Amino acid sequence: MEAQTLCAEDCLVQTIEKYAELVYRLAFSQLKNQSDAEDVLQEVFLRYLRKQPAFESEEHGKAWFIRVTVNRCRSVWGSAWRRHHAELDESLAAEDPDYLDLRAAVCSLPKKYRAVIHLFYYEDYTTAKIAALLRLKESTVRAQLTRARAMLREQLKGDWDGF
Amino acid sequence: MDFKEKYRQMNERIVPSPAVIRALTELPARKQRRLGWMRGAIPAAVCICLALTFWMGHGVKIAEDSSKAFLNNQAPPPEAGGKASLSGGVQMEEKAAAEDDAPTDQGSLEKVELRGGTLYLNRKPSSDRAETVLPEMNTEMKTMEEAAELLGIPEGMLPPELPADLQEDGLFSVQMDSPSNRAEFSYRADGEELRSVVLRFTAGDSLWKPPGTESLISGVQVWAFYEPGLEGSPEKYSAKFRINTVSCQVETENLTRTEFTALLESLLTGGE
Repeated sequence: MEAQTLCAEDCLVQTIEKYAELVYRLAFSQLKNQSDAEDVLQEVFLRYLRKQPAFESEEHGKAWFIRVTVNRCRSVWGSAWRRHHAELDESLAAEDPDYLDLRAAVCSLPKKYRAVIHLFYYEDYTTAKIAALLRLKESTVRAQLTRARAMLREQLKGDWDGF
Repeated sequence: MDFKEKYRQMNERIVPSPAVIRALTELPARKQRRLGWMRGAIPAAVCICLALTFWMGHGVKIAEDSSKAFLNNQAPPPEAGGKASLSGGVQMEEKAAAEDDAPTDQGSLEKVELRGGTLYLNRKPSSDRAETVLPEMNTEMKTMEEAAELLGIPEGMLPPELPADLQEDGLFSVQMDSPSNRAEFSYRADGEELRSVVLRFTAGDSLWKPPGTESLISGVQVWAFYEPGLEGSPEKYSAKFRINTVSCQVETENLTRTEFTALLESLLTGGE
Protein backbone atom coordinates (compact mmCIF):
# COMPACT_ATOMS: atom_id res chain seq x y z
CA MET A 1 0.00 0.00 0.00
CA GLU A 2 2.79 2.37 1.01
CA ALA A 3 4.82 1.36 -2.06
CA GLN A 4 1.81 1.94 -4.28
CA THR A 5 1.34 5.39 -2.84
CA LEU A 6 4.98 6.24 -3.38
CA CYS A 7 4.79 5.02 -6.98
CA ALA A 8 1.61 7.01 -7.53
CA GLU A 9 3.32 10.09 -6.13
CA ASP A 10 6.35 9.60 -8.38
CA CYS A 11 4.17 9.11 -11.43
CA LEU A 12 2.14 12.14 -10.52
CA VAL A 13 5.20 14.33 -10.11
CA GLN A 14 6.43 13.23 -13.53
CA THR A 15 3.05 13.86 -15.08
CA ILE A 16 2.81 17.27 -13.46
CA GLU A 17 6.23 18.22 -14.79
CA LYS A 18 5.19 17.11 -18.24
CA TYR A 19 1.70 18.51 -18.53
CA ALA A 20 1.09 21.20 -15.91
CA GLU A 21 2.27 24.06 -18.10
CA LEU A 22 0.31 22.78 -21.07
CA VAL A 23 -2.87 22.64 -19.01
CA TYR A 24 -2.27 25.95 -17.29
CA ARG A 25 -1.54 27.83 -20.53
CA LEU A 26 -4.52 26.40 -22.28
CA ALA A 27 -6.77 27.21 -19.30
CA PHE A 28 -5.31 30.71 -19.06
CA SER A 29 -5.87 31.34 -22.76
CA GLN A 30 -9.48 30.30 -22.30
CA LEU A 31 -10.32 31.95 -19.00
CA LYS A 32 -7.97 34.95 -19.11
CA ASN A 33 -7.69 34.73 -15.38
CA GLN A 34 -4.89 33.34 -13.25
CA SER A 35 -7.10 32.13 -10.40
CA ASP A 36 -9.54 30.31 -12.66
CA ALA A 37 -6.67 28.80 -14.63
CA GLU A 38 -5.11 27.51 -11.40
CA ASP A 39 -8.46 26.07 -10.32
CA VAL A 40 -8.78 24.28 -13.62
CA LEU A 41 -5.21 23.02 -13.33
CA GLN A 42 -5.94 21.49 -9.94
CA GLU A 43 -9.21 19.97 -11.04
CA VAL A 44 -7.66 18.43 -14.14
CA PHE A 45 -4.96 16.77 -12.07
CA LEU A 46 -7.45 15.70 -9.45
CA ARG A 47 -9.38 14.02 -12.22
CA TYR A 48 -6.19 12.43 -13.45
CA LEU A 49 -5.51 11.12 -9.98
CA ARG A 50 -9.00 9.69 -9.63
CA LYS A 51 -9.17 8.11 -13.08
CA GLN A 52 -5.52 7.03 -13.32
CA PRO A 53 -5.83 6.72 -17.11
CA ALA A 54 -3.27 4.50 -18.85
CA PHE A 55 -1.80 6.45 -21.75
CA GLU A 56 -0.71 4.52 -24.81
CA SER A 57 1.75 7.21 -25.82
CA GLU A 58 2.88 10.67 -24.89
CA GLU A 59 0.65 12.08 -27.60
CA HIS A 60 -2.31 10.23 -26.13
CA GLY A 61 -1.57 11.69 -22.70
CA LYS A 62 -1.26 15.19 -24.10
CA ALA A 63 -4.55 14.84 -25.96
CA TRP A 64 -6.25 13.57 -22.78
CA PHE A 65 -5.08 16.58 -20.80
CA ILE A 66 -6.11 19.03 -23.52
CA ARG A 67 -9.52 17.43 -23.83
CA VAL A 68 -10.15 17.47 -20.06
CA THR A 69 -8.89 21.05 -19.77
CA VAL A 70 -11.17 22.28 -22.55
CA ASN A 71 -14.14 20.52 -20.97
CA ARG A 72 -13.32 21.92 -17.57
CA CYS A 73 -13.06 25.46 -19.00
CA ARG A 74 -16.47 25.00 -20.59
CA SER A 75 -17.87 24.01 -17.21
CA VAL A 76 -16.39 27.16 -15.68
CA TRP A 77 -18.01 29.28 -18.38
CA GLY A 78 -21.30 27.56 -17.82
CA SER A 79 -21.24 27.98 -14.05
CA ALA A 80 -23.83 30.29 -12.52
CA TRP A 81 -21.10 32.31 -10.84
CA ARG A 82 -19.31 32.94 -14.12
CA ARG A 83 -22.54 33.82 -15.92
CA HIS A 84 -23.40 36.45 -13.34
CA HIS A 85 -20.01 38.01 -12.80
CA ALA A 86 -17.85 39.98 -15.16
CA GLU A 87 -14.36 38.59 -15.48
CA LEU A 88 -11.42 40.66 -14.38
CA ASP A 89 -8.90 40.59 -17.16
CA GLU A 90 -5.92 40.53 -14.85
CA SER A 91 -3.55 39.28 -17.51
CA LEU A 92 -3.49 42.75 -19.03
CA ALA A 93 -2.46 44.48 -15.84
CA ALA A 94 0.84 42.70 -15.34
CA GLU A 95 1.64 42.11 -18.97
CA ASP A 96 4.96 42.96 -20.59
CA PRO A 97 4.30 46.02 -22.77
CA ASP A 98 5.71 44.14 -25.75
CA TYR A 99 2.87 41.66 -25.59
CA LEU A 100 0.11 43.92 -24.35
CA ASP A 101 -1.47 44.48 -27.75
CA LEU A 102 -1.21 40.84 -28.70
CA ARG A 103 -2.71 39.67 -25.42
CA ALA A 104 -5.53 42.19 -25.73
CA ALA A 105 -6.22 41.10 -29.30
CA VAL A 106 -6.29 37.40 -28.41
CA CYS A 107 -8.42 38.01 -25.34
CA SER A 108 -10.93 39.94 -27.41
CA LEU A 109 -11.58 36.87 -29.55
CA PRO A 110 -14.68 34.80 -28.89
CA LYS A 111 -14.07 31.90 -26.47
CA LYS A 112 -14.32 29.18 -29.07
CA TYR A 113 -11.71 30.86 -31.26
CA ARG A 114 -9.19 31.23 -28.46
CA ALA A 115 -8.82 27.47 -28.01
CA VAL A 116 -8.32 26.97 -31.73
CA ILE A 117 -5.72 29.73 -31.92
CA HIS A 118 -3.84 28.41 -28.91
CA LEU A 119 -3.78 24.83 -30.11
CA PHE A 120 -2.79 25.84 -33.63
CA TYR A 121 -0.13 28.44 -32.89
CA TYR A 122 1.26 27.26 -29.59
CA GLU A 123 0.75 23.51 -29.51
CA ASP A 124 1.38 23.15 -33.26
CA TYR A 125 -1.61 20.96 -33.87
CA THR A 126 -3.03 20.59 -37.34
CA THR A 127 -6.62 21.55 -37.98
CA ALA A 128 -7.53 17.89 -38.30
CA LYS A 129 -6.02 17.13 -34.91
CA ILE A 130 -7.70 20.17 -33.32
CA ALA A 131 -11.01 19.01 -34.77
CA ALA A 132 -10.53 15.62 -33.15
CA LEU A 133 -9.55 17.16 -29.81
CA LEU A 134 -12.43 19.58 -29.69
CA ARG A 135 -14.87 17.15 -31.29
CA LEU A 136 -15.64 19.52 -34.12
CA LYS A 137 -15.66 19.11 -37.86
CA GLU A 138 -12.37 19.98 -39.49
CA SER A 139 -14.15 22.49 -41.73
CA THR A 140 -15.51 24.20 -38.62
CA VAL A 141 -12.04 24.47 -37.15
CA ARG A 142 -10.70 25.90 -40.39
CA ALA A 143 -13.51 28.43 -40.52
CA GLN A 144 -12.93 29.43 -36.92
CA LEU A 145 -9.22 29.79 -37.54
CA THR A 146 -9.82 31.96 -40.60
CA ARG A 147 -12.27 34.20 -38.73
CA ALA A 148 -9.96 34.46 -35.74
CA ARG A 149 -7.05 35.46 -37.94
CA ALA A 150 -9.15 38.10 -39.65
CA MET A 151 -10.14 39.51 -36.28
CA LEU A 152 -6.55 39.52 -35.09
CA ARG A 153 -5.39 41.25 -38.24
CA GLU A 154 -8.03 43.88 -37.71
CA GLN A 155 -7.09 44.29 -34.06
CA LEU A 156 -3.34 44.36 -34.57
CA LYS A 157 -3.54 46.51 -37.70
CA GLY A 158 -0.70 44.83 -39.49
CA ASP A 159 1.80 44.91 -36.60
CA TRP A 160 2.69 41.33 -37.37
CA ASP A 161 2.59 39.24 -40.45
CA GLY A 162 2.73 35.55 -40.99
CA PHE A 163 -0.62 34.51 -39.61
CA MET B 1 8.78 38.54 -36.03
CA ASP B 2 5.73 36.67 -37.17
CA PHE B 3 2.56 36.16 -35.20
CA LYS B 4 3.32 32.56 -34.31
CA GLU B 5 6.67 33.38 -32.77
CA LYS B 6 5.28 36.33 -30.86
CA TYR B 7 2.36 34.26 -29.57
CA ARG B 8 4.73 31.51 -28.50
CA GLN B 9 6.98 33.91 -26.63
CA MET B 10 4.01 35.46 -24.90
CA ASN B 11 2.76 32.06 -23.72
CA GLU B 12 6.18 30.89 -22.58
CA ARG B 13 5.92 33.50 -19.86
CA ILE B 14 2.71 32.04 -18.55
CA VAL B 15 3.58 29.42 -15.96
CA PRO B 16 1.72 28.18 -12.91
CA SER B 17 3.03 29.39 -9.61
CA PRO B 18 5.34 27.06 -7.63
CA ALA B 19 2.79 26.99 -4.80
CA VAL B 20 0.18 25.51 -7.11
CA ILE B 21 2.63 22.92 -8.42
CA ARG B 22 3.58 22.02 -4.85
CA ALA B 23 -0.12 21.66 -3.96
CA LEU B 24 -0.58 19.38 -6.96
CA THR B 25 2.26 17.10 -5.93
CA GLU B 26 0.67 16.77 -2.49
CA LEU B 27 -2.65 15.65 -3.94
CA PRO B 28 -2.16 11.90 -3.29
CA ALA B 29 -1.21 12.51 0.34
CA ARG B 30 -4.17 14.83 0.82
CA LYS B 31 -6.46 12.27 -0.77
CA GLN B 32 -5.19 9.68 1.71
CA ARG B 33 -5.74 12.03 4.62
CA ARG B 34 -9.22 12.82 3.39
CA LEU B 35 -10.12 9.15 3.16
CA GLY B 36 -8.80 8.64 6.68
CA TRP B 37 -10.96 11.44 7.93
CA MET B 38 -13.98 10.02 6.11
CA ARG B 39 -13.50 6.69 7.84
CA GLY B 40 -14.24 8.47 11.11
CA ALA B 41 -16.89 10.75 9.67
CA ILE B 42 -19.24 8.02 8.52
CA PRO B 43 -19.82 6.51 11.99
CA ALA B 44 -20.09 10.04 13.40
CA ALA B 45 -22.77 10.92 10.84
CA VAL B 46 -24.70 7.75 11.71
CA CYS B 47 -24.56 8.66 15.41
CA ILE B 48 -25.80 12.19 14.69
CA CYS B 49 -28.70 10.83 12.61
CA LEU B 50 -29.68 8.43 15.39
CA ALA B 51 -29.52 11.22 17.98
CA LEU B 52 -31.66 13.50 15.79
CA THR B 53 -34.22 10.75 15.24
CA PHE B 54 -34.48 10.16 18.98
CA TRP B 55 -34.72 13.89 19.71
CA MET B 56 -37.44 14.46 17.12
CA GLY B 57 -39.47 11.56 18.49
CA HIS B 58 -39.21 13.08 21.94
CA GLY B 59 -40.39 16.45 20.55
CA VAL B 60 -43.52 14.89 19.09
CA LYS B 61 -44.26 13.32 22.47
CA ILE B 62 -44.09 16.76 24.11
CA ALA B 63 -46.49 18.16 21.50
CA GLU B 64 -48.95 15.36 22.14
CA ASP B 65 -48.79 15.97 25.88
CA SER B 66 -49.45 19.65 25.28
CA SER B 67 -52.54 18.78 23.20
CA LYS B 68 -53.88 16.58 25.93
CA ALA B 69 -53.35 19.34 28.47
CA PHE B 70 -55.47 21.69 26.39
CA LEU B 71 -58.23 19.19 25.93
CA ASN B 72 -58.28 18.80 29.69
CA ASN B 73 -59.17 22.48 30.05
CA GLN B 74 -55.73 23.66 31.04
CA ALA B 75 -55.32 26.32 28.39
CA PRO B 76 -54.57 29.96 29.28
CA PRO B 77 -57.43 32.47 29.81
CA PRO B 78 -58.93 34.27 26.80
CA GLU B 79 -57.70 37.55 25.46
CA ALA B 80 -59.70 40.61 26.30
CA GLY B 81 -61.75 42.24 23.58
CA GLY B 82 -63.58 39.28 22.17
CA LYS B 83 -67.25 39.87 21.97
CA ALA B 84 -68.02 36.29 22.67
CA SER B 85 -66.10 33.14 23.03
CA LEU B 86 -66.69 29.51 22.50
CA SER B 87 -65.39 27.05 24.97
CA GLY B 88 -64.53 23.45 25.01
CA GLY B 89 -61.92 21.28 23.43
CA VAL B 90 -61.93 22.28 19.83
CA GLN B 91 -61.33 20.35 16.70
CA MET B 92 -61.54 22.29 13.52
CA GLU B 93 -61.47 20.50 10.27
CA GLU B 94 -62.45 21.32 6.78
CA LYS B 95 -65.78 20.21 5.52
CA ALA B 96 -64.07 18.22 2.85
CA ALA B 97 -62.29 16.08 5.37
CA ALA B 98 -63.58 12.62 5.85
CA GLU B 99 -66.61 13.01 8.00
CA ASP B 100 -69.57 10.74 8.37
CA ASP B 101 -72.45 13.18 8.49
CA ALA B 102 -71.13 16.26 6.69
CA PRO B 103 -71.29 16.63 2.95
CA THR B 104 -67.87 16.07 1.44
CA ASP B 105 -66.09 17.64 -1.46
CA GLN B 106 -64.75 14.77 -3.49
CA GLY B 107 -62.24 16.96 -5.26
CA SER B 108 -60.03 17.55 -2.29
CA LEU B 109 -59.22 16.03 0.98
CA GLU B 110 -57.71 18.74 3.04
CA LYS B 111 -57.76 18.63 6.73
CA VAL B 112 -57.05 21.29 9.25
CA GLU B 113 -57.02 20.12 12.79
CA LEU B 114 -56.62 22.21 15.83
CA ARG B 115 -55.97 20.30 18.94
CA GLY B 116 -55.31 22.39 21.93
CA GLY B 117 -51.88 23.83 22.00
CA THR B 118 -50.71 22.16 18.87
CA LEU B 119 -51.83 22.89 15.40
CA TYR B 120 -51.43 20.35 12.67
CA LEU B 121 -52.14 21.19 9.11
CA ASN B 122 -52.38 18.09 7.02
CA ARG B 123 -52.82 18.80 3.39
CA LYS B 124 -53.96 15.81 1.47
CA PRO B 125 -55.54 16.61 -1.87
CA SER B 126 -56.98 13.81 -3.88
CA SER B 127 -53.51 12.87 -5.04
CA ASP B 128 -51.03 11.15 -2.78
CA ARG B 129 -49.30 14.22 -1.52
CA ALA B 130 -46.98 14.04 1.40
CA GLU B 131 -48.38 14.99 4.73
CA THR B 132 -47.25 18.33 6.00
CA VAL B 133 -47.12 18.80 9.70
CA LEU B 134 -46.67 22.34 10.84
CA PRO B 135 -44.60 23.05 13.88
CA GLU B 136 -46.49 23.30 17.11
CA MET B 137 -47.81 26.77 17.56
CA ASN B 138 -48.81 27.35 21.11
CA THR B 139 -46.20 25.75 23.28
CA GLU B 140 -44.41 28.94 22.46
CA MET B 141 -47.08 31.51 21.73
CA LYS B 142 -46.82 32.91 18.24
CA THR B 143 -47.95 36.31 17.17
CA MET B 144 -50.88 36.54 14.82
CA GLU B 145 -48.55 37.40 11.99
CA GLU B 146 -46.33 34.41 12.65
CA ALA B 147 -49.32 32.09 12.87
CA ALA B 148 -50.78 33.52 9.69
CA GLU B 149 -47.47 33.07 7.93
CA LEU B 150 -47.28 29.46 9.06
CA LEU B 151 -50.79 28.80 7.84
CA GLY B 152 -50.48 30.82 4.67
CA ILE B 153 -53.30 33.13 5.71
CA PRO B 154 -53.10 36.48 3.95
CA GLU B 155 -52.54 39.54 6.11
CA GLY B 156 -55.97 40.93 5.35
CA MET B 157 -57.55 37.94 7.02
CA LEU B 158 -56.14 38.70 10.41
CA PRO B 159 -58.74 39.90 12.90
CA PRO B 160 -57.99 43.51 13.66
CA GLU B 161 -57.87 45.13 17.03
CA LEU B 162 -61.47 46.06 17.65
CA PRO B 163 -62.04 49.70 16.83
CA ALA B 164 -64.11 51.60 19.37
CA ASP B 165 -66.82 52.57 16.91
CA LEU B 166 -67.33 48.98 15.86
CA GLN B 167 -67.78 47.94 19.43
CA GLU B 168 -70.66 50.37 19.63
CA ASP B 169 -72.58 50.04 16.41
CA GLY B 170 -70.98 47.72 13.94
CA LEU B 171 -70.47 44.79 16.22
CA PHE B 172 -73.27 42.48 16.91
CA SER B 173 -73.22 39.36 18.88
CA VAL B 174 -74.53 36.03 17.92
CA GLN B 175 -75.66 33.81 20.67
CA MET B 176 -76.68 30.28 20.52
CA ASP B 177 -79.61 29.26 22.67
CA SER B 178 -79.18 25.62 22.30
CA PRO B 179 -75.65 24.81 21.42
CA SER B 180 -74.93 21.65 19.62
CA ASN B 181 -71.61 20.03 19.29
CA ARG B 182 -71.16 21.13 15.73
CA ALA B 183 -70.85 24.41 13.94
CA GLU B 184 -70.01 25.24 10.42
CA PHE B 185 -68.47 28.34 8.94
CA SER B 186 -67.68 29.38 5.47
CA TYR B 187 -64.62 31.48 5.14
CA ARG B 188 -62.16 32.75 2.64
CA ALA B 189 -58.92 31.16 3.60
CA ASP B 190 -56.87 32.39 0.70
CA GLY B 191 -58.77 35.47 -0.27
CA GLU B 192 -60.32 33.84 -3.30
CA GLU B 193 -61.79 30.48 -2.63
CA LEU B 194 -64.75 30.11 -0.32
CA ARG B 195 -64.22 27.21 1.99
CA SER B 196 -66.28 25.57 4.64
CA VAL B 197 -65.09 24.44 7.98
CA VAL B 198 -66.78 22.33 10.56
CA LEU B 199 -66.17 23.08 14.17
CA ARG B 200 -66.77 20.27 16.51
CA PHE B 201 -66.81 20.61 20.21
CA THR B 202 -66.62 18.23 23.05
CA ALA B 203 -70.15 17.14 23.77
CA GLY B 204 -71.66 18.62 26.90
CA ASP B 205 -69.43 21.69 27.02
CA SER B 206 -70.91 25.12 26.99
CA LEU B 207 -70.09 26.30 23.52
CA TRP B 208 -71.07 29.88 23.61
CA LYS B 209 -70.36 32.33 26.29
CA PRO B 210 -72.18 35.65 26.24
CA PRO B 211 -69.89 38.66 26.24
CA GLY B 212 -68.60 39.73 29.56
CA THR B 213 -68.95 36.36 31.20
CA GLU B 214 -65.99 34.32 32.17
CA SER B 215 -65.07 31.78 29.63
CA LEU B 216 -64.41 28.23 30.65
CA ILE B 217 -61.65 27.73 28.20
CA SER B 218 -60.04 30.07 25.78
CA GLY B 219 -59.79 29.15 22.23
CA VAL B 220 -62.50 30.54 20.03
CA GLN B 221 -63.47 34.14 19.69
CA VAL B 222 -65.96 35.42 17.17
CA TRP B 223 -66.56 38.90 15.94
CA ALA B 224 -69.22 39.88 13.50
CA PHE B 225 -69.06 43.17 11.68
CA TYR B 226 -71.57 45.22 9.82
CA GLU B 227 -70.39 47.76 7.33
CA PRO B 228 -73.03 50.07 5.87
CA GLY B 229 -72.91 50.43 2.13
CA LEU B 230 -70.95 53.45 0.97
CA GLU B 231 -71.56 55.29 -2.30
CA GLY B 232 -73.88 52.71 -3.70
CA SER B 233 -71.91 49.70 -2.61
CA PRO B 234 -73.93 47.02 -0.88
CA GLU B 235 -74.07 46.49 2.80
CA LYS B 236 -71.48 44.08 3.96
CA TYR B 237 -71.55 41.74 6.83
CA SER B 238 -68.59 39.79 7.92
CA ALA B 239 -67.65 37.56 10.76
CA LYS B 240 -64.17 36.89 11.90
CA PHE B 241 -63.41 34.12 14.23
CA ARG B 242 -60.22 33.23 15.85
CA ILE B 243 -59.21 30.01 17.40
CA ASN B 244 -56.19 30.62 19.50
CA THR B 245 -53.89 32.30 17.03
CA VAL B 246 -55.61 31.06 13.91
CA SER B 247 -58.09 33.32 12.21
CA CYS B 248 -60.73 32.82 9.58
CA GLN B 249 -63.27 35.12 8.07
CA VAL B 250 -66.70 34.88 6.51
CA GLU B 251 -68.08 37.65 4.34
CA THR B 252 -71.23 38.25 2.46
CA GLU B 253 -72.52 41.21 0.52
CA ASN B 254 -75.96 40.17 -0.52
CA LEU B 255 -77.69 39.44 2.73
CA THR B 256 -79.56 41.69 5.07
CA ARG B 257 -78.41 41.93 8.61
CA THR B 258 -81.24 39.71 9.76
CA GLU B 259 -80.46 37.14 7.10
CA PHE B 260 -76.82 37.23 7.93
CA THR B 261 -77.46 36.87 11.63
CA ALA B 262 -79.75 33.97 10.93
CA LEU B 263 -77.12 32.41 8.71
CA LEU B 264 -74.46 32.77 11.32
CA GLU B 265 -76.70 31.37 14.00
CA SER B 266 -77.61 28.56 11.72
CA LEU B 267 -73.96 27.90 11.09
CA LEU B 268 -73.17 27.98 14.76
CA THR B 269 -75.89 25.52 15.54
CA GLY B 270 -74.79 23.29 12.72
CA GLY B 271 -77.74 24.16 10.53
CA GLU B 272 -79.69 21.36 11.96
